[in-house]
Order: sequence, then C-alpha cells, then structure tokens
Amino acid sequence: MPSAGLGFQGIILAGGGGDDKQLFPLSAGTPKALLPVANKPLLSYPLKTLSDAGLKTAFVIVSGEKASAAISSWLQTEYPATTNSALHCEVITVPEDYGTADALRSVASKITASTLVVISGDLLTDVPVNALVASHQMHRALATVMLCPRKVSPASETKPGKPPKNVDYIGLDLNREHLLFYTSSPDAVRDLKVPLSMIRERGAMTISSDLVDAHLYIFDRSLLLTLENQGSLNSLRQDLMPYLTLQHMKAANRYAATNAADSIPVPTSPSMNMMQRQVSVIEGEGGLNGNSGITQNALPGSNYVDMAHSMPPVGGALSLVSRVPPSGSASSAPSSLRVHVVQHSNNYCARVTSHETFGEVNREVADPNVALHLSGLRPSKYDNIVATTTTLGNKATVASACIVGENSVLGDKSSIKRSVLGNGIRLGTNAKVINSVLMDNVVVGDNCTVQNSILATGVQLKERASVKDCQVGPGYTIPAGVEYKGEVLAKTAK
Amino acid sequence: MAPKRAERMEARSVLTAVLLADSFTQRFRPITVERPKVLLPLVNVPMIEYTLEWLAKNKVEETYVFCCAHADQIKKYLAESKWVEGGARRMRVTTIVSTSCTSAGEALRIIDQRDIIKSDFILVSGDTVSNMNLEPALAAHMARRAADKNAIMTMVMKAVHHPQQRLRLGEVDTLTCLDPATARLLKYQELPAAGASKSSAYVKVDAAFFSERDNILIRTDLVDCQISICAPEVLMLFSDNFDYQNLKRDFVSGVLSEEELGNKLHVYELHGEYAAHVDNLRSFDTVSQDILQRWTFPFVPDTNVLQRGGAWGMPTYRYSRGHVYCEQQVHVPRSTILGSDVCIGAGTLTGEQCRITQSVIGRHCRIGKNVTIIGSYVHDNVTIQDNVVLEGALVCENAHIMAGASISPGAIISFGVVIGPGHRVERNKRLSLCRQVVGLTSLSDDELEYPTSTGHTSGGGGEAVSTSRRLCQQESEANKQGLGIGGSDYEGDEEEEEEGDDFEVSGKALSFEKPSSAAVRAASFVAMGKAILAGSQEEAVRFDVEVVGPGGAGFEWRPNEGFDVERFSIAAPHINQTVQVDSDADIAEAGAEGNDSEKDGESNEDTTDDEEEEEEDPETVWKAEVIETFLRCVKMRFSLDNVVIELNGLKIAEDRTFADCAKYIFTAILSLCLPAPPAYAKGEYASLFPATGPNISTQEGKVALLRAFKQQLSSWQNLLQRFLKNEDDQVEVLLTFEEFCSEDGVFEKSGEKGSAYADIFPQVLKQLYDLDVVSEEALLVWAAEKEHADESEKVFLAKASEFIAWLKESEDEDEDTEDEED
Repeated sequence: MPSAGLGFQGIILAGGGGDDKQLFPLSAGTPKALLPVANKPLLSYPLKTLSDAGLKTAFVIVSGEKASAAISSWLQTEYPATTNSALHCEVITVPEDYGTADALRSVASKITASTLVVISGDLLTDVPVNALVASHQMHRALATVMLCPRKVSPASETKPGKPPKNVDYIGLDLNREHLLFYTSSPDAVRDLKVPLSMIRERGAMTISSDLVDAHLYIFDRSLLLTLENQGSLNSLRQDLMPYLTLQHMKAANRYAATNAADSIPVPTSPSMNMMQRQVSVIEGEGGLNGNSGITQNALPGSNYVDMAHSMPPVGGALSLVSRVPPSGSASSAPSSLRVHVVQHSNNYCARVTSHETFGEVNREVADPNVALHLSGLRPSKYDNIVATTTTLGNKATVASACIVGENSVLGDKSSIKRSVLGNGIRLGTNAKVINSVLMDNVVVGDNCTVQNSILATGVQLKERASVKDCQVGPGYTIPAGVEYKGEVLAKTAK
Repeated sequence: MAPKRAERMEARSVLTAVLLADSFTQRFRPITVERPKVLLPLVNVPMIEYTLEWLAKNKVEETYVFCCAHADQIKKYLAESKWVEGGARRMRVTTIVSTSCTSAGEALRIIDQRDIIKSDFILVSGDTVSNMNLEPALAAHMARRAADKNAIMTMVMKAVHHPQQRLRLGEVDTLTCLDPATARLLKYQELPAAGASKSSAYVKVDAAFFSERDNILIRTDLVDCQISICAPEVLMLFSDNFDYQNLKRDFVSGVLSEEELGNKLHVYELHGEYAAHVDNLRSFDTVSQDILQRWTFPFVPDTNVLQRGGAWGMPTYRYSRGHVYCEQQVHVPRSTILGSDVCIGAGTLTGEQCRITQSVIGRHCRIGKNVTIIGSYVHDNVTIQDNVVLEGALVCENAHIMAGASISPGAIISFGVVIGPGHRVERNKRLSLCRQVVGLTSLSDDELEYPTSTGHTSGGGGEAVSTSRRLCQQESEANKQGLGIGGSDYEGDEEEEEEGDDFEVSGKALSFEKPSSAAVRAASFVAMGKAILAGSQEEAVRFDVEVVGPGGAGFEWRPNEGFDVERFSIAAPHINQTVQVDSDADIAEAGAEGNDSEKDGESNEDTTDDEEEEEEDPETVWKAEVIETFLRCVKMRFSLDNVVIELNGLKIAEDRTFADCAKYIFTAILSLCLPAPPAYAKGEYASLFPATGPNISTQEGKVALLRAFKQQLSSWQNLLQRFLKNEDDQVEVLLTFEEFCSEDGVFEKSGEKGSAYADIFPQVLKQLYDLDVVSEEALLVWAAEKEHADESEKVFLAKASEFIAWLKESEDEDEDTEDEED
C-alpha cells in the first residue's frame, strides 16, 4: 500500500444521509457530503486536503446505506479506482446511529499505519496535514487536535452573567501547544470542573470558549486500542477527547509518583540535573578548602535553591514531553495531547454545520481573497468566476467574489453580488441575487430578489417573488409576488 | 495618636502608603512576645527598614505606619531612625496606633474612621522586601481607575516557576482565575496543600465567566506579594462589611462573590523584580538567603543603604567573593572558614577553626572555637561558646549557648535564653524566657491568626481574645517605662521592672508581654555562671531543664495545635517534602457539570462519591436545605400555595432549577414513608416520620410501604407538578429516584434507607404515572437513555422493563391511530 510508506492513513467521517437536521431542508434527498460548495461536493474538500498531504488512499465512512450508495457512486466517477494518480477511496458503511468514535472503531482493523488522520467530511481547510502529521510524530504525541478560532466571540452573544451556550471549553497551556482540558456540551453548563493536578502540573492554563474543534484529529495507533477497550465512548468530541485529557493526567501523575518513589533523581530531567550539578559544585568547593568537616551537600536549601528564581529551561521540567525519556518506548508512556491552533491570517479553516455556515463557507470559497484556492478554480480579471457557457443578458452584472456555473442564463439587468450560483441557473430580467447560494437549476423569475438565502436544486421563484434569510428545499416553487422572510420552505413529504 | 489637620489637606495629592506593622498572625512566637516582628533584624537590619526604604525609593511621600502590638517599641524605633520628621529622608512617616486591633480588617476600618486617606494608596505589610518599581503598577491602576471607578484594587502577584518556590516561602497554594485581556481577577481561592487528605481533585470554574470574555487564565503559580494598590473605596468596603478580617480571605473573596456591586480587582504580575514578605520563619530564611544572594538589589548589605535606627551608626559592609559580607572590625581568624552567603556584623569575634555558611551573624557576638554555623540566623550580642553546632536555627539577642551544645534545625532560641553545656536542642523546639501560657495558647496578645483553609489555629473565641487583649494592655501599661529596644539592658531595667511582676506574684505567671524580671535575672546569672542565692526570687524560677539542658535557662513553647511546624520551620525543607504527588484515585471525571442531569447521573458518579468526602458538598447541602424546608412546611401544615412560595424562595435564593427542587421534594416524600433518617431522627421533624417502617422483606411490608407512599404522593402530587415544568425535569426526578434507591451519590451514607424502595421501583413508577406526576414521554426518555448505560446502571430499568414495555405498547397504539388520522 502506498500510503503505508507515508506512515499515516486518512479517514474521512462523511456523516449521514439526507435527514440531516441542521441542514434541512437543503439536504433532503442529498447526503450532506454531496451538497455543493462553490459548485463542488462538500466531500471533495477533505479529500483534496488528504491528497494534498500525499495520501493515495482514504477511508470514507458513511452512515446509512442510502447515503453510502450516493457517495460511492459519486466517488466512482470522480476518483475512479483504476487510475493511479488520483486518491483511491474505500467507502465503509456504518449504521446511522453510530457516533464518530463508533465509526472509527469499525475501521480499526483496517488501519495498518502508526498514525491516522481523522477528518470530518464537512471540513474545509488548507492547513497542510502532512506538516501536522510530521509535528505529531516528532513529538510522539498521542493525539493532535486542530482547533479553529471562532469568528464571532461567544461572549458577545451571551448575556452577562449567563454561561454561553454550545461552546467547547478548551484548556491549553500557555504556549498553546498542549491540550489540557476539553469539555464540550451543546447546552449551557454551570460549572467547569477542572482537574486541579493538571493546573498544578503546568502552573497555568487558559480555558477558551472561542476555539472550536475543527474535527481534524491525528491519532496514534494506540488510541484504537483505547477505543476498543472503552466501548462506552461513542463520540470523538464528546467522549474521547475528555476521556483522553483525563487519562493523560493520570499518566502524568503516575509518572510523577514513580519519580517520587525513586530516591535517585531521574537523570533526564533538567531540573534534577541542575541540582546534581549544584551539589557537585559545592562538594568541589569543600575539597578546595580542605574542609571535610561539613558535609557540604547537606547544606540547607542546596536542593532547591536553583529552582528558586530562574525560569525552567524552555519546555523543561514542567513540560511533560521532555519528562519522558526520549529513548523510552513511546507506547508505554504515551506522551501528550497536542493541539494545532489555526491562525485565520495564515490558513483557512471552516466547517459546514448549519445554514449560516453553509452560506458563509460558499461565499468565502468563492472569494479569491479568502479561500478560492481551495476549490481549485481560477478567478477572472474581475475576481469572479463565470463559466464560459453562461449567457449574460444586457447589463447583467456579476460582482467580484461570485461564482456562476455552467449553462446558466442571466437575464437583462440582473445583478449578482457575493453569491454562488450553480449550473443551469435561469435569472429573469432585473433579478437580484445577494449573499445567497443557488444550487443547480434554480429558476428566478423577473424582478425577483434573493437575499441572504439558500435555494436548493430546482427551486423556482415566480415573478416579483422575494426571499430574504430563507432556506428553500429542493424543487420548491415560490408563487409570484410573494415575499418570504426568515423562513424554511420545503415540500411536504408525502 | 490623632492625625494632624494639616496633613489631611495635603493628602489629596501626595502618593500615600499604608504600612501594616503587624501581620496579625502568631507564627513568630515566642519571639514576637518580646519584640514586634517588623523590628526583627533581617540580615542585620530591621524588616521595616526594607519596606520603608523601598517605599521612599518609589517616591512615596507619606507613609502611615499602623502599629498595634508593641506600638510603643515601633514608635520609639521610628523616632530614633532616619524616618523621623526632619530626618534624612523626605518621606513622611506617621504612626497610627491602635492596641485593640486584632486583624488587618480592623486596622483598615480604623484608618477609614480616622479619615486620613483621600486618594488611592499603596497597602503593604511591614515585612515586605521588594525592589519592584511601583510606577508601572500604579500607572496601570490609575489608568483602570480613570476608565472605571470600580476598579478598586490592584494586587501585585509574582509567578513562581517551580512548585518548590512556594514551599520556600511557606505560602499557601492559591488558585487565581484571571481575564488574560484585562488582568481582572475573577476567582481567588486558597487551596489545601497538594496531597492533603481533604484536597479536592477539581476546581470549579463558573461558566458564566465566559459570558464576558472568551478566555480565562487559571493559575496556581501566582504568589500574592501582599502589595496592593487600593482606592479609598477599599477602606469603605471594610467599614461596610465589619466582619471582614483578612485582606485576602475575606475582602477579596467578598468582593469577588458580590459581583453585582460592580467592584473589580485586578492583578499586576511582576516579572523579574523581587517581592516577598516575611510572614513566617520559613520565608524569613528564604528572604534572608535571597538578600545574601543579591536578588533584592539594591537592598543588599554592601550597598549600605539600609541602616538600623538609633545609635547604631552607619553600616560598613563590604562584599567579598561568594556572597560574603563583613562589616569593619570583624575578627575572623585564618583558621575559620567562611562559606558562601555569610553576613557578619561589626564587633563580632569568632574563634579559631569555625565554619560558617549561609548564615547571618549580628553585631558584637562572641563565637568560640570550633563552632559550626550553617543556615542559621544569630542576632546581636549572642554568645556562642566553643564546639557548638548551630544548624538551621534562629538565635535572638543576648542568647547564650554554652560549650558543646548543638542546636537542631528549626529551633528558635529567643531573647536571653541560655542553652546548657553539651545540651542538644531538638528539632523545631522553640525556647523563650517567657513562659507560655498554657490554656491560652490559641490566644494572642499581639498577633491573632485566623484559621486558614488548612486550619492552623483554632482562631479562638472572640471573648477570650478580648480578655487576653485586656490583660496585655494592663501589663503593657504597667511595664511602659521599663521597655528598652535592645535586650542588652535587661539588668539595668531590673529595678524599674519589679513593679511589673504582679502577675507572677499572683501565681498566674501570665508573663506573655515580656519575660518576668526574675527569669531574666536568673538567666543572666546562669549565663555568667554566677550562683543564684538560695531563697531569692531567681531561685524560684523553674526553667524547663529538659529542653534547655542543665545549666540552661528558658521555657519551651509548644506550637499551637494544627500549626504546621515543618512547613514554617526556619530550616530548609527536605526535597522529599517538595515533591507533590496527587493520588491517582482522586481523579475521576472532569468536565462540565450543569443542568444536564443525565450526565450527572450516569458518568459522574465517581465524582459525586469524591465530593461526598468533602464536608460541604454543595449538592448535599442543597439537598438538606430542600428537605428541611419541605419538612417544615409539612410540619406547619402550610397550604400548597405557601409551600410553593417557600420552596420557590429557596430556589431563587440558591439559583437552582425547578428540577433541583423537585427531585429532593420527591425523595423527601419517599423518606416520609420510612423511619426517620439519622439527620432528622431527633429534633422537631422526627414526629413526621413513622416510628417503624414496614418490614420490606415480606410481601405485606412492601404493600404497606407502597400504600403509605401512595397516600403521601396523593397529598403532594400537586406540589410536584408545580415544580416539574417539563419532561426533562421529570426525567431528572426519575434519575434521582434511581440514585435514592441505590443509595448512591448524595444519598450514600445519608441513612435514608432508600433501598427499601428498590423492590417496588416499578410500582412507584406506575403511581407517578397514574397521578400525572411523570408523563409517559418522560418515562420513555428515561428508559431510552438508560438503554445505552452500563449494565450496572440498568438494574432499575430491568425492574421496570415490564412497565416500560406496557407503556411503549400503548404509545405505539396511539401512534398508529395518529398515523391513520394523518
């Protein structure tokens, strides 16, 4: 297997079928993974992330037969198994009620590499995964978690005195390298219970509510064993990560305990080294003075005096990583949980989890200044992308950071701003599309306005209809002259 | 002493400091019985000099020295020092005296009453050693104050980079939560020492902190330097809250818990500069060593900036290699070896072949031949005869150590004590010429210690404290004229002191303000080798010979109960003491604790077990409160509406949810059918419980219990319904019921005997369902939740399986009909 040579394997958790609650009604009939972002299925982005990292194969875990079939067929056309150049994908179907950890457990037997990369099927990022893997392996980390700062501070959305809702509480060390604490709960929590020994170990810990788990994990193979043994862990985010932070702490404690039990200082610890040196210096002095009367190394305070004022060496005694003897077996003493905090100025990272993020991600990927490079499209001189097969009407305008797909017809005086339009779109005369996502074959009648909305495949707007802040399900028809604001419109299932 | 009017006018613009010349603890006893702590020499200079000089260096123009114990000594000292008005320094030093003061809180209230402070001021204790530049901290404080009047205090803290550092200072572990962006203090908590039996494995952090910021910083590595910049409002707060005693424990926690008042505290973190305060003997040792090792520059001996007041003259220290500082006229023979970190005052003579390291020796000491002094502090005019070994000890003025004696680490030899020849003073022994007042040990004349979280002293009842206060006042008045600063003139004072001996004559021997003159005389006779006349007063003094040795003079002072002698010992700690190991078993589940009881019920059981060992598990307290309120309502036969009002009041007061109330109301109803649990077995509510419970091992017993329950439930079903607002609440009650039956969590060891209900679990569920207390949906949600639980947690689900199955069936039927309708 080519990927074995790289030392890591990729797993994409592509999620469920069409009944995704968060993206309803858009996802009706289409698995979330195949919803278009900049006119490409969502799943293609994590696949590209993996193939950019040099992987040749990837496992795609899909829950539910129906979604699995749809994704398999798309993968077969897009990444045919025959060609050598492209990524080879193996689709694995798991029951719909499986959590993310369960899903990972189901592929455990197929993992041969020492490191595995688990990536959520709805993640769009240009963080180089191979670099993360390299750092992970270099530090002999147990797990590396990618964290992504929120664009909107949760505190700004919360009333003073009330705990914020739906945030991840992530405890990091001051260098923002190690994961010390992890709690995520969809509800507001009243108190965080932070293990004291964890803070004592480090001296300080920051807890942030404005970081989110980007759902890109790099795991050591030994974690599969943990998953195997801990059958009750269902979700990576809600069960495994909190569990690991605790286990990690226990391991640290055990390590400290064994250290304490040893009367002989561990030679690899820098602070201990310092002490030994100090003691030997004093002994040397005593010898010079020809004074053997005082047992010099029993001087009061000699054993701790050096620690008193100087900073420990960087990553020194306080860092668990360096405590573990580098030559020691990594499997017996799993070293640490690391994090990678994405800087928005350097890298793009976003997940599609809701209507808002779906629209936002679409717009951002369409914007050459933000993340167009993810889609692999090249902007025109107007900083937008209009397929050559598209017919533009008289005085039709397409602003920058817009995408218009193939075979679309834009009517006279129509205008498109900050929007992504799929293939086969028909815009009527004087139609306005602002801040919206129009999937394939949407028909917008004359004098219509679409603002801040997402229209799924085949939606039709009759003349003078107007939608604002709406999500419209596939095939829905909006009658002429109607105005909708802030609604979810879907065909009633029969 | 009342402040002068003129000063008050000026105080508006000048930079003012308040220096508390009393730390209100008794960790330095018995030394502080005779001498206030701030006048104790720290590397041969009284501690207060370090603080005053540092304040003056920071351009403080006016310093109020608040004196309490030994106020006369402090006043006298200051009057003779360079700080006297018109003296060498520009900073004005004014003393405020209040002998009746027992805590920092009271001191600040007195200062508030006197209305001296008009602007923001610096609050320090008189034992602060620092070289920090106050300017940036002041600027930061003033900038915050300008922006927000409520930013009333800035506390200076310093990070320790190694856990051992805190131990060096004998400090309590503290936990601080900060807002990293504004340095605002959010939480301040003293932690029990790591590894202590009562230590909790968790810190609870209020998630509401995140409503105003996205990041918080939790630190255990900050040490409070006891330097604060305060707004005058701080004094007002102390006056408003007359129960505030300790600056940190009461004031800081009080302000933080009353967030609605809007007062904000901030932290200024010190980097690189030195700040420490000598609040126990351990830190006395540490700070002395730091001074010798020049961390406190410019406050080191050879700069000769600091000088003792009085007729002491200028210091003349000179630096030699290896942190050795000797004054002129120090006689050290060639054969004597001075190791590193040594400071020796003028006029001291050492004999041949002595070895001295890491020690400070005062002026005019006589040290014999072949003496070994390691890590010890020897004050002025001490005589040490030949072949003595001093290790990690503190020897005060005029003490006399006879030939061949050895002093073990941690020993305190107070003023004038004589150690007999060849005697060995045991580890951590404290010796004084004053007799310890047995039975009044927790009381204090000068310094009163409040119990810390680790519980050092019992604190003493307020009444007893005031008694001792009165006593010492009487005595101090009686002795007023006889007090000298140095102990060197004891003999000269003898005549005058006679009158002060009332206490001893009256047989009480309550000599805790100063040693009885007879003891002093006897000690000096012993020291000089003179014979004591038979039948004289001196002969009547019975020293504790077993601790000072034959031919010695002194009494033993036993530490107060609970006083951690090792932790505050002047001797350096052992390395093994420094290793902190938390037991593995402590760590159960961390994470969020909140309204989602599912999690509480299922996965956090270990945690609740843990918490149970703590005395004040909030859940147990809450449970007791709900049950108590409910029982009171039952007893008083309140109408339903009034019961609801009572419980609602409790709910609002404690900021709880409806479900929190409902679940314990329900368990109270359950226990009302059983014999009273131990907590209520006696007292006013006992009559509410049946005297004997049904014998649940028999079928009849079970039926009887169920019937009793049915009766109770039917009378309280409306109440429960009022508190069960939705399905989730009902599920919570079911989970609590489960816990109750399995005597788990808060019900463990509560003696409520909930297991009696275990056998009739499904029947109780049926009752709840029939009386509409719990809905069908809630039952099914509960069952569904439990489906995925561990086997061990499914016990009750299994019991109720039939009932649940029946419910499901009926629901399916319902659904079918609905579908057809659709």
